[in-house]
Formats: sequence, C-alpha cells, structure tokens
Amino acid sequence: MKSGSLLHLAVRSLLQHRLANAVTVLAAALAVGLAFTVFAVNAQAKAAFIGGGGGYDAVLGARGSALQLVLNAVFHLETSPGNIPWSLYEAVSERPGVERAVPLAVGDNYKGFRLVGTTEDFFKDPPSGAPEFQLREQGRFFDPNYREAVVGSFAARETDLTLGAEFQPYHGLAYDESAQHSEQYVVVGVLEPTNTPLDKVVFIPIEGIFRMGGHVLRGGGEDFVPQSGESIPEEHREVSAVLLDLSNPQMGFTLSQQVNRQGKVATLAFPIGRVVGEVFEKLGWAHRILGLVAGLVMFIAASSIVACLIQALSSRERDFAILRALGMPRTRLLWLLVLESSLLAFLGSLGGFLVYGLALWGASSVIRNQTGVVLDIFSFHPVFLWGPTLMVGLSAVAGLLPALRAYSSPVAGQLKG
Amino acid sequence: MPLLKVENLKKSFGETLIVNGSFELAEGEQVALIGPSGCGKSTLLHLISGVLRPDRGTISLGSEELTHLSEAALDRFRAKRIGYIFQSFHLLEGLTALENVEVAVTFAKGKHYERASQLLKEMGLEDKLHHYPRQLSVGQRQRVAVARALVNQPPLVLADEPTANLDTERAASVVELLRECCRKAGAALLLVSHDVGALQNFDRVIQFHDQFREAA
Repeated sequence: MKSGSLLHLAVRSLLQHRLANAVTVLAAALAVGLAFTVFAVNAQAKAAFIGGGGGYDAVLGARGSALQLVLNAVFHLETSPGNIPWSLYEAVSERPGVERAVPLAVGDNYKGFRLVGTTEDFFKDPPSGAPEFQLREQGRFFDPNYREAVVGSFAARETDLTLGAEFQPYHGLAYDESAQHSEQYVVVGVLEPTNTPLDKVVFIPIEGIFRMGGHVLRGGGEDFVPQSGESIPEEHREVSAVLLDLSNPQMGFTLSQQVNRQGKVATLAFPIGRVVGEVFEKLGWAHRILGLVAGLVMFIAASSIVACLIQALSSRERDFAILRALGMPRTRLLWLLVLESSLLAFLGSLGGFLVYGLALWGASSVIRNQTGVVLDIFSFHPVFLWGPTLMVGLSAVAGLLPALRAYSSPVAGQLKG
Repeated sequence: MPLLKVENLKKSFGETLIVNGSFELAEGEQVALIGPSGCGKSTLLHLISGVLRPDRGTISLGSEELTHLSEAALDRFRAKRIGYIFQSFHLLEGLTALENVEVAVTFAKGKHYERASQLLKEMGLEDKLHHYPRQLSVGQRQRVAVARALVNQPPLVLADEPTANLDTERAASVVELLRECCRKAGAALLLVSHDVGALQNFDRVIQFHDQFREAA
C-alpha cells in the first residue's frame, strides 16, 4: 500500500482510533449478522421444510387439517388428527399410479421421542429422494414379528439407547413417567444421522402399536382390544397416516379430488411441499417485519459509523489541515472520509459473517432439537451479497456528512499553535 | 527576477487588517520575518502558500501568479513548489516518520519515494524510519518536519514559528538545521518568528506590523 494513498491514509486513521472504531465495527457486524440470519435462516428453514417430504408425494390421514397431517406424519410434530381404517390404506395402496404406500401408526413415546409403528418397507423400499437409511455397527431393521426397535440417531443419543438396549415405551406423545407400558422392546438398529426429522423417531413394527397395552382399535367402528397370541382382524386395524409415493403429479390431483372433495372420512395432503409452504406464506408478514427490523438496524449501524466519524472530526481537523497544506486536494479529503466510512462498514460486514455463523449455529441447534431439520450453515443466500453492499453503500452515503464538513472546514485556522 | 514577489497585498478579516504591503525574495535567499504575536505573520505564509486568498494584490513564485490559480492548481502548486514547516512541526500522529515524509511525495505526484528515506537517513534518523511521532524526541520530530518540507525539492520553504515553545538553545539549533538543509537543497527560506534572538545569521530580517519594513 503506497504511503499517502487514500487507502493507506484511511487504514492508518482507523488504526489510530482503533478502540472507537472497533466498537463501531462490532455494531455494524451485529447489524449485518442480523440481516444474514433473518433472511438466510428463513430461506433455509423454508427449503428444509418444503423439501422435507422424505421422498413421498402425499399423506393420507384422518379428515381434518392437511398441515396437521403433514406435520404429524412427515415432521413428527403435532398430535395426530385421528386414525383411518386399515381398509383405506389397502385400497389406496392398490390404486394404479400409487408406487408405494407406507402405513404409520403413532400414539406412544420413549422419553419424549415418539414411537412410530410402520412396516419394513419404510426402510427397505424407500422412494427416490428419501434419506438413505444406514445402520450403525451390526444393526439391522426390525423383524415385524418381534418387539424390536430401530432408533433414529438423535433419539438414540438423547435417550442413551444403544444396540441391544431394552426399553419400555410410554403412552401418549408426551412423556409421562407414570404412563409406562409393560411391553419391553429391544433395540436392533441405530440409524446413522439422516439430518431429517426421522433422526428423532423410534421405529417399531406397526403391529407393536396395535398391541401396546391399553390401546383400543376402532378401525371397524367398534372398540377392539387385541389379545396376545391372536391375530388382529384387518377390519379392526387402523393407521394414523399413509405416506404415498405417486407415479406422477396428475395422480396426486386425481386422488386429492376424490379424497378431499368427494370423500368424507379422510384428507389427502398433496403435494407435501405446498402444504408446508402455505405456513411460510401465512407467516410471510412476520418475515417481512423481521427484514424491516434488520434494515432498520443496518441503518442505525450506518448512523453510528457516521456518529463515530463526526465525533473524531474535531480531533482530526488539524490532521486534515496539515494534509491540505501539504497539497492534498479538497476532493481527496472528502473521499478519504467516505472511504473510512465504507471501510468500517466493510469490516463490519466481514464480522457479520462471524455473527451469522454463531447465530445460525445456535438457531440450527434449536431447530434440529425441536424438529430434526438441519440447516446448512454454508448454504449460499443472496443476502450475503446484497447485505454487505447495502451496508457499505449506506455508510458511504452517510459518510458524506462528516466528509462535507471536513471538505468545507477552513485550513488556516487549524495550522496555528 | 526574484523568486517570490508579493505586491500590494491586502487581507483583512472583518475590520481587522492583517497583512498589507509588498516584498520580494531572491532564489536561495534566507529571510526572517519578525513581529509580535498576532500581527499576521502566519496569515502571510498562508497567503503565499495559497491556503488563503488575498483580498487584493498579487503573489508570484517564479513565473506563476498565484491569485489567478484555481483551487486544484493551488493544491498542486503547494505540493510541488512549497515546503511547509508548521508551528510544533505538526507531524501526522497516525503515520510513521517515513510515511510522514512520503505522504508529501504522493501529493506532489512524485515517484521519488526513495528520497524520503534518503533524507531521513541524512538527518541521522535511519533507525527511526518506522517510529511514530510519539516515539520520537523533539529534535527528531523537527528533523522529520524538515525532511517533509524538502522532500519534493521545492524552490521555497515556509517556516511558521518553528521555534515557538522551544528554549533559546534548542530554537537556535532548529533554525540552524533549517538554514543548513535549505542551503544544501538550494531552496529559499522564509521564516516567521517573534523571537529575534535566533535570527541573527539570516540574509535579511524584515520587521512586520501591518506593513513590511526592512529591519536595520
């Protein structure tokens, strides 16, 4: 860097007042980091949830809210809207155009992590786009004839369930120590992380949910309590939801028309991404407000940069006068102040990436713990370009204020004494 | 032809008449301008360097007439043709000794950066090039200021009360340093001071009130 160049003078000046400038850079970093976090977390959460159907196209479940159905069956959040008869599952699975139909039954948990009863097909014949199910160590998928469980990675870590461990589930989706079932399950497989909500699930054979003590099946309209050693007639069986993999989108629209418009007992949530996307659209106002707040904070940070420069002006007037007396053109002095302001904003923007990293690390931990959805800290978002550009641009424009003051300041008076 | 020619100069701030008069300076000449504090000596230097513009009269340096120059041209003029030594030397505290000198080279659009370090070395500051002004003694700061004034090899050096706030002995050594360096560089020196004691060896001493008067 050439001595006397604007950049050199600006850097030296910033270093000379390094403490005040460090505080200013920190303010700018927080502002930019906030903007990054608001926009990037929203975009990533949206992408993760909308694309989080696990390869399935639709969910069939009890009559009610499609969103509740998706949250319950795909994201393993919320309560189940109710059950549908097994016969409905069989009917839909035999429809041409339905490539896969996987039944799910819920209603129990182990230490707060929900038990999902399903068939082996869920693991062994997943649709394209589904997470790859890999088992740790010498694990295997459960045998539907035994009380065996396959545990998601996060659930395993949090509950200390390891291969060979035995456990007794608890009734309901919320953990209540007093509601423990007497049935004993053994862990035969622990899944490698899939970075999806499945990491928070304990999978058991669907028959296990049917036969769990205290469970009453109402698939046939009447109460039926399964007895040990006796098979459960199909008319009494019921499922919480059916995940559907369809051959083409047209099939989804046809099925949706038949189930949602013409039928009265079930709801088809199709396509899964659109159902979840509606949540983000409904919450769009909140995102816009957060964006506005982020913009406001950036404006305040730019103002604090200017305030910092203005405050330093009085102590720098002599320096400016010396530079002018040495032949520095007035316009270069103006650009020097604008450059200093921009540099502070630029450094703040770099710091913003650090703030964003920390914020996203915190946010992704919370979101992962709550939903199993993993945010990618390194995923690109346009805010990483326009955020710093806006911050530097705002600061450069705001920096004109002290710059013009220095520009019009008389030189001669400052050279005395 | 004189190097510097000041004719019928008048500059007033409100009703206060600060400078009024004429004088000339030859090439390489060393002239001291003396007068009481506040009589307008510094204002005269600001007028000569183009930092201030006169209300009336002309200032010429060589063939260049300052009063007709645009502000941008005055900036270039100041950078290339005037060496300025301020009261208290006024080094830029955020720059090292070397950078304080080099900055003057930049404004003159010169490329002779090596001259900056060479001058400082000649002044015995070879081990202080990268020291900041606060790390230098008063004497070392003086020498940096002199080097900064001479680095662009200007024909005229203006020194504004360089001996202010110094004791007699140190004031004499500063003046001697200035005179010696200007002589070596072939630059004329116009030094203003209210301290008569340090100015005995100058070619001429001009008394300054509101008019210029040759001292006896």
